[in-house]
Amino acid sequence: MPRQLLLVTLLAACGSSGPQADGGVSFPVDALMSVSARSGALTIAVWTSPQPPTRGVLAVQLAVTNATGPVEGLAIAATPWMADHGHGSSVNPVVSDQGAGVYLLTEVYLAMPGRWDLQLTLDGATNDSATVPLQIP
Amino acid sequence: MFSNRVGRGASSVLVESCLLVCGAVAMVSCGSTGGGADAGFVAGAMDMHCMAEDGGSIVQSTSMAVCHQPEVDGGVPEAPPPLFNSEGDDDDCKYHLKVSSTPVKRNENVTFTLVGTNKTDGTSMVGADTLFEGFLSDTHPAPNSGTATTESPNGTYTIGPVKFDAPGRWTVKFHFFHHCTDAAEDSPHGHVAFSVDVP
Repeated sequence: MPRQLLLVTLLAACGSSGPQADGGVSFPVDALMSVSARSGALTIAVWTSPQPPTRGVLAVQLAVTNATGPVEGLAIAATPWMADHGHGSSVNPVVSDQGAGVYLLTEVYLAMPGRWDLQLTLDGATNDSATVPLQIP
Repeated sequence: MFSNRVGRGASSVLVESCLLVCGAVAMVSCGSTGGGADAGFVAGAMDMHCMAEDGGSIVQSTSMAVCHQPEVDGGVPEAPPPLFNSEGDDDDCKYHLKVSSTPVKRNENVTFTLVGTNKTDGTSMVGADTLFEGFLSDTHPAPNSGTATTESPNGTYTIGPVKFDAPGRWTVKFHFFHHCTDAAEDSPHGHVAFSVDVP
């Protein structure tokens, strides 16, 4: 647990330092939320840019940890889904591994207001899934 | 699927066919609204997806009563390809749409004007709360540009500004009554997509 807190603190420090290498995206200090993977073994801290998220194109940063620390080298697929309307997005997010258990999602296109679920599958040393709920005003 | 088919005689079909051909010629000649060669709506085959084999119209009636009907897990509907030209029916044959735009140029503000009518009776598509969605590919959305929609007069929607940040053939998609469910066939929820070339 302390390692998780350390990771989150480090990420927060990075996020507050302004633009990052990949696409000039920056994130605020504090995570928007934290979700648990379906297995319960992974915790995923979530940042968005802009934060809170607004309608349009977003970037999302994920920090994946387990009981021992950051989970690196995962192949993550992300699918935006609007369950209330029964449809997804016309655009698929692009995922890049930033190292140290941090993953960057760009081109997250949420064109409608309402509740979106960012459905994640995480494959690698562990195979899991998670849902990140995003409320778009 | 519940559809109303309005049958017509052969002569009316012939007249309509002539009108469609004339319309196609007109579209090809004036579909592009500026912005340089090959900019704007892409000329091509007229939209016929709401025409039945017997020449009648396929019309899907709508009802606000099912707007908030709970979703059922019916799988992911396959989006049809975008329409050519700048006029056609929505995916589900609920509305007829005519769209125009200011000159289409890369990285410059573009405003779309969309006029919608209900296919059931030809009245204006009022209060549709139209939303815009644009993408060049399944990994390249239109950048955020503060796009907003206003309706004036009833059934006419002005949507902008929109920016296209790369050349190529974009899909511009308009959503109607987006707050309503897309699961019920007679829900007012609808969408139509057109192709736009950005030089």
